[in-house]
Amino acid sequence: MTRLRFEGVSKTFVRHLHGGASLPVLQQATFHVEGGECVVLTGPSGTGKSTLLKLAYGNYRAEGGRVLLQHGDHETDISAGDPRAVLAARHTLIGYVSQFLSVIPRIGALELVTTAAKAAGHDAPERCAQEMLARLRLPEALWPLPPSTFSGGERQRVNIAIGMVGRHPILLLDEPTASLDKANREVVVELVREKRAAGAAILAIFHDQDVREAVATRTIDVAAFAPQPGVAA
Amino acid sequence: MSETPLLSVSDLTKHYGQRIGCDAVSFALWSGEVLAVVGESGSGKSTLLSCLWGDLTPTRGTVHYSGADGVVRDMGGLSEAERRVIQRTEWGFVRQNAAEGLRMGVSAGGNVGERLMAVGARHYGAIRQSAAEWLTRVEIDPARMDEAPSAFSGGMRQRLQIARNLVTEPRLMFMDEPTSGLDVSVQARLLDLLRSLTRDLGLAVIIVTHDLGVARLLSDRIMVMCAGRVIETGLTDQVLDDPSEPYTQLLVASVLEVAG
Repeated sequence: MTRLRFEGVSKTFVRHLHGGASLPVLQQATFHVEGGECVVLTGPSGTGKSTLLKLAYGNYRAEGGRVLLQHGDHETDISAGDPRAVLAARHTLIGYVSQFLSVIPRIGALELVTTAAKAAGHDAPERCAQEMLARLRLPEALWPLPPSTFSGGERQRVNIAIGMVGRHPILLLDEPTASLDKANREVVVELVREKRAAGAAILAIFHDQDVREAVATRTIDVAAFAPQPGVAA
Repeated sequence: MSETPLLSVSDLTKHYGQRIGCDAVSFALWSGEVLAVVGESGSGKSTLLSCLWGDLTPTRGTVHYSGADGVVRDMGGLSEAERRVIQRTEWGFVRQNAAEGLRMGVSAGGNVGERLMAVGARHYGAIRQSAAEWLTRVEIDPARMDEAPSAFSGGMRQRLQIARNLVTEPRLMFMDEPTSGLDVSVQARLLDLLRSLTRDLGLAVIIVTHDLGVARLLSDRIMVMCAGRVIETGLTDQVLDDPSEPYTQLLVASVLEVAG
């Protein structure tokens, strides 16, 4: 079943502070992701891979086309940008693991993950959060501490834990393994496989080739959506 | 998603003679939502807040509030007394300068208890107990409840002001630059407290701030004002990460980035 569908999506950034420079990034992006698939976006930096994920999360607005999230018999066009619809979709439909953890000053790692587990409706959210942090080998001594003082790899694992304890049927992963060692990358590979087995539709960016080969069911070269000079978006 | 908004604002306008305070502002706010109003000094955000609260009479436009009793009221059509009842019970206002939102000559406990008495609480022990609980919740040692706020630091005064407002369990809070003028570490603590309180209590909040970091941390939605008008509005992370208006791009580009 198709969970996520891009239909003719175009995105251009206009930089008003730089003489109104127009930077077209995507043109007529059309593809879909089925439940149980892990579609990995490929292509050089700057070709719009992260932009596609941000469009799917309602973080960026599209000028043209639609980004449809399927739930039951309904579809939500998240690119339409109605704030309440986007917030509702993020709550129940779509999860996002970014490269960076936005840190809240005084909240401990375990509490952050527990809050996410609670939002996902787990029966024992704290135990569930502990299990996830243990799987990701975050030292127990760090659990009560706010991640603002953590290393890049430690923050990254908290971020993955937050995304993975959720039960969103659509999951967006933006280089979640960028600052992880091999052992931790393998844990992420396992987690992604489990999500797929549970029927989640996954759209991801992975730079490590070993991870990509281990999890991708399909790849999409984003170059196919590059704007053609002289063709209107 | 189709329930009645808590607050519906239509064409709200305030002119000071020829000068525009705020112009044709319309929006709806739903229960539990946090809306940030951002813009530079003079953009009209404080004028807007005063018109919403009722300190200022708008030149034109309406504010409708859906009360706890399910009745939708045109706030501009209420008597002064009717408006005060709502301001004291279902609404709250956290002022930038705590001295304006507190009674500086009354003890901390009295400041919190006063709002309870205004809604009919009479039992001294229960009022004191409730005041102590709210002081604890905003991280003020209840042992200090008999001290006057003038003995408190800026951050403590601000937290006391929040406790004074929350004690009647309001549904809608107005905040005018609640963290400006505080040290950065004190600001972080206050923001964190506001964030958890709004989530735990399901409060709707309209917060005016010039600090985009405050808006990002606390709000679901954002309204960008410039020269009295709303120029861009939407989901907070969307407007801040993908601003479309020149002025919003300028605001976002002007934030110092500190490596995290």
